[in-house]
Amino acid sequence: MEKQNTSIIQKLGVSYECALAIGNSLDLAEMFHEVIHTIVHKTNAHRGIIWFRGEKEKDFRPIASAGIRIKDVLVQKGISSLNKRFKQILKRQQFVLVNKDEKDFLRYCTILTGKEESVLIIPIKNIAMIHLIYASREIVNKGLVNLLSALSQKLSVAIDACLAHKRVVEEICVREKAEEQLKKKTEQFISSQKEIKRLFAESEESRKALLSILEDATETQNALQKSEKRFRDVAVNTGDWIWETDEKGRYTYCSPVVKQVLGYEYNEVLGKYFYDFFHPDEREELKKAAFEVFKKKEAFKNFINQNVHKNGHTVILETSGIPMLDDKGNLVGYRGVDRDITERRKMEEEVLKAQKLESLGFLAGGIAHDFNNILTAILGNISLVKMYVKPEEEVFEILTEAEKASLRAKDLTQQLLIFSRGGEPIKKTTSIGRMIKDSTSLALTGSNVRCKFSIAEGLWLVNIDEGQISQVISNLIINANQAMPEGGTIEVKAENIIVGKEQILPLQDGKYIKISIKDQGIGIPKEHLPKIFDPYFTTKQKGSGLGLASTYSIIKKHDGYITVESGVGVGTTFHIYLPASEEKITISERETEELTKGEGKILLMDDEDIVLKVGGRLLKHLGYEVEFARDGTEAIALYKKAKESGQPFYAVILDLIVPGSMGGKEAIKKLIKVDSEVKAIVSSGYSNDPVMADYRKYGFSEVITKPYKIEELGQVLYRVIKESKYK
Amino acid sequence: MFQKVKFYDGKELKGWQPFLDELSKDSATGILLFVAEETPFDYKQIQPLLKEMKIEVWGGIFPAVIYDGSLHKQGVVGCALKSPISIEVIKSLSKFSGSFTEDFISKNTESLLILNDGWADNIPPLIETLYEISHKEMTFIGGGAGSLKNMTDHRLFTRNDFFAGGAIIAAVEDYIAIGINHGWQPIHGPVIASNVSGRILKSINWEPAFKYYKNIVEKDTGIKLTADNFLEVAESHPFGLLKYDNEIILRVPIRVDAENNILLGSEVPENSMLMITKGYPQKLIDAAGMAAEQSRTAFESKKKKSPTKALIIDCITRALFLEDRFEDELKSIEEKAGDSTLLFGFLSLGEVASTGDKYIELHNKAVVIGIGE
Repeated sequence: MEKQNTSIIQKLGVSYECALAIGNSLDLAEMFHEVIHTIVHKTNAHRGIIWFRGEKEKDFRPIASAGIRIKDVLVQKGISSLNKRFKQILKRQQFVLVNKDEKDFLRYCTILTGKEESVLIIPIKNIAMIHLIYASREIVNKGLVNLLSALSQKLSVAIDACLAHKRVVEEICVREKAEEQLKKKTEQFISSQKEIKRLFAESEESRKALLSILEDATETQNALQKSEKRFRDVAVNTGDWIWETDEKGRYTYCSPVVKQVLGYEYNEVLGKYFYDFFHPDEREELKKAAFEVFKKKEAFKNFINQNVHKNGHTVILETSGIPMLDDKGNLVGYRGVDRDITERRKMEEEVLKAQKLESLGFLAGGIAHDFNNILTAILGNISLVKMYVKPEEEVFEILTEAEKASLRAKDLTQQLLIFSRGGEPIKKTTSIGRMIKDSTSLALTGSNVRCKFSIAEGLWLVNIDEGQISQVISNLIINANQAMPEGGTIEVKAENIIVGKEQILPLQDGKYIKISIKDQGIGIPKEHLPKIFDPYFTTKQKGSGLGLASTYSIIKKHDGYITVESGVGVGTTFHIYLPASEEKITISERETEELTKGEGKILLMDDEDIVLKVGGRLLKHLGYEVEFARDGTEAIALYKKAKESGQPFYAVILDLIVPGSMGGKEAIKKLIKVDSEVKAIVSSGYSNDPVMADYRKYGFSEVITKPYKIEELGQVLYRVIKESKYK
Repeated sequence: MFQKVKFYDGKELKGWQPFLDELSKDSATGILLFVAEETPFDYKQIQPLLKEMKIEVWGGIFPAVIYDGSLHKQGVVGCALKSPISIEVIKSLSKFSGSFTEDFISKNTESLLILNDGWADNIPPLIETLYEISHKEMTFIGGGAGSLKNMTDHRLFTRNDFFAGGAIIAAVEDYIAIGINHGWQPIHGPVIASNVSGRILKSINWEPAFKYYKNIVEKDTGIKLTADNFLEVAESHPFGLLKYDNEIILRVPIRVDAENNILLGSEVPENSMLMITKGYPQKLIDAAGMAAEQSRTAFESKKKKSPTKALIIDCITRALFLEDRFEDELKSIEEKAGDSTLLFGFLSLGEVASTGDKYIELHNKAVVIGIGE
């Protein structure tokens, strides 16, 4: 694996794991602990501290640390001075990086062990600071700062979630306290009733006195009945299952809610042991733990346990209980409440799953951008060198191999982005037949499944994002392959169809390409069919449930439709409908590798030196004169100057994103004001930004994705310049 | 740091007494013993001798020991320390409280020597605690005791106990310079450790772990990977955990279970990103030399003199992978550590190390070299 690729992958890995640490817990201190340890560990920092300031607090205080204990942070000198610095950082909302040889270093670095070289402080909104100390200043480069700045935005959202959760928990505590008080009152009424009965039985001779007591008792009993009714109403309507057991754990009271929770009538539960309902997998372990608590006569709270519902499914309960003791302090049983948290658990798992993917997607986009810039330089230089070599020479073959390897690296970026599911399609008019065959063959590499193609001749063209549609085909072929573990044949068919009123399809009338993928696998049960495109629905034991969901989403973004037919034991067929394109095939799609040369002045804007360097070489080789700009502002100034001098640029190539400065999206708006007929090409490695998909709407004439080969650059410029008024 | 280092073949009980006496001479402050697993070591018989010692004695059983640049499957390496030390014994890592006795680490402590049970779980909390309480330029070196053949035997000992599942840590008031390296190269990834329980890797990219791993390794080696030949084939393809600074921390795959899970040499966090790496003998040998050079340079720069002794903690799986060429690895270390430097140490199950300027790391498949005088 190439060293450059490895380095980028490492950075991506670190970003991913740091992003995952964020939001792993809803407890603020716990989350901060996880985050600072992950950042320090993964970025090879020497020490790290997270400082936090609550709503009403004036100063920041250390809330989590790695490599130093909080109590040791608190005794360091210069904390109040550091707090002043934090407040200045807050005002600017920008990171601070100070190296050892700078005069203010000691004001930012309060911990001194002799190895400190750099201090990096990153603000998180106005509530927290990530304070990192590095023993090597080489680590703290632009990439690391960008990575941590991106994480800080995510962290600020997670802090809000933790604070909101804390407020909810406080509210629940208040409510539970109130419920507890209500229970105590009820118990008091019950014991007063017993006392009255005892007095009643005591003596006939005290009848008069007793009558007088009973008069009082009648009032008490009325109150008692009201209270009991109130308790019953609570027990029935609360949604939580209230119970009592004896000292051996047998249910002696059980609210009817148990029917909703476990499916049993309350009288079926009475007399049973609490552990009779535990899931067999954890019954012995939980039983042991519960009796440990019984032994100590302790109260317990939020004890999570899995139980088996009467109909066989698993129910996750959160159990809280308090011991009931007699006058001598002996345990007579437990009283408590069970809450069904099965749905909540599922939701939490789904949120976590979604968060993992979102984290990766978010970071993959950023890394892919840098990665593709580097690849642009590699691929550009290779294609340029090939121009100087004859095809029959051995060097030409070697260079072609290197070019292929670079394109494989480009595919690697795409693989990383698969996780993110994101991205508007960057559509081009193309013929789909070859792509279906290639994607299918690739997905079946090493498989014992055969494939039978039936691709109609004269297949209409389609306007698609080749990468995304290739992903769709791969997903469906992989599913088909997995459905036939013993081998078999997959039939792949592509044909032209016209959708009219006679077809009951949720599509507009018109011309479509219909792709059908049919397997001879185990099939999908009827009850699963409506759910197969839902995110996270999977019948595979270890599937992520995202393959078909992303397939559906991609087809929808192409204004197409996907449907499925299946029968258990018969096999499954997926049908995809994609609108046919009226456009003619674009030049770039020609099977030719011929170089399209041109002439005139081109302005190339990019913030990366390597892209400017190699781009300049490619443009010169294609016959163009080239000038360079590093951001939008510089590009606009150069464009104006050239226009005024009577030697205008024929076309401008603008990088979509320029960190910390004006990028292509903003620049094109201003260039149009300078020259309404400006011919601009937007260029980017990867972006979720809709500009790349819908470039014309934003004022661009063409799009080119990095990395690009010289042939591609030549063709794009040719198309743009032939319409330029300056040619 | 090291007053003297001696080797004894350990064949007879009667040889232990003079061996220990020799080590304890000249005001030694403590004796560290590395026992090779094929040595006839009977703790019950040796304990009375250890109890008689007036200084701390502790050690472990290892797959093999290294003395004077050679590997021994039988025998004992004894290392007498000359600086003040304090010892902390954790009998069970699974019950580790997260704190040490108050005066275990003093302001004069410069290095920690760690021996842990290589098969024990819960090592990361110990490492995290050591990292929290470390100060100044403290360095860390250590490794896992144990055998690849038996996971349950007792393998750590002090004058009072012979036990499994724990760790013994010595805080030493002297400097040891550290070098760490492995030399394994990534060939596939990144992949996500999507389901992990401690050292059991259950799924990779949401697919059964073994199925995924098998596919990659079979493509690379052309050998059909099964549960039976797993250790033998997988020893050349460990997993690597990613760090930011072009660094990869390895995890060794040890065996596959009936549920297609892979048992690893040390824990990996769930959802961490992994690479699958590959070993090339010469690169491993060169990496070991680089580790020796790193530690020697650090030592000479701090102490302004040449080192005399080098403690080598080398993963057992490197020796299995390199086979006959493991000798070249030791030679490579010898060349870079300096001609007059005595090489001694052991083959380990997991290595613990830190150069003192970043997180303490639990390594697999690495070589850690501690150079002192």
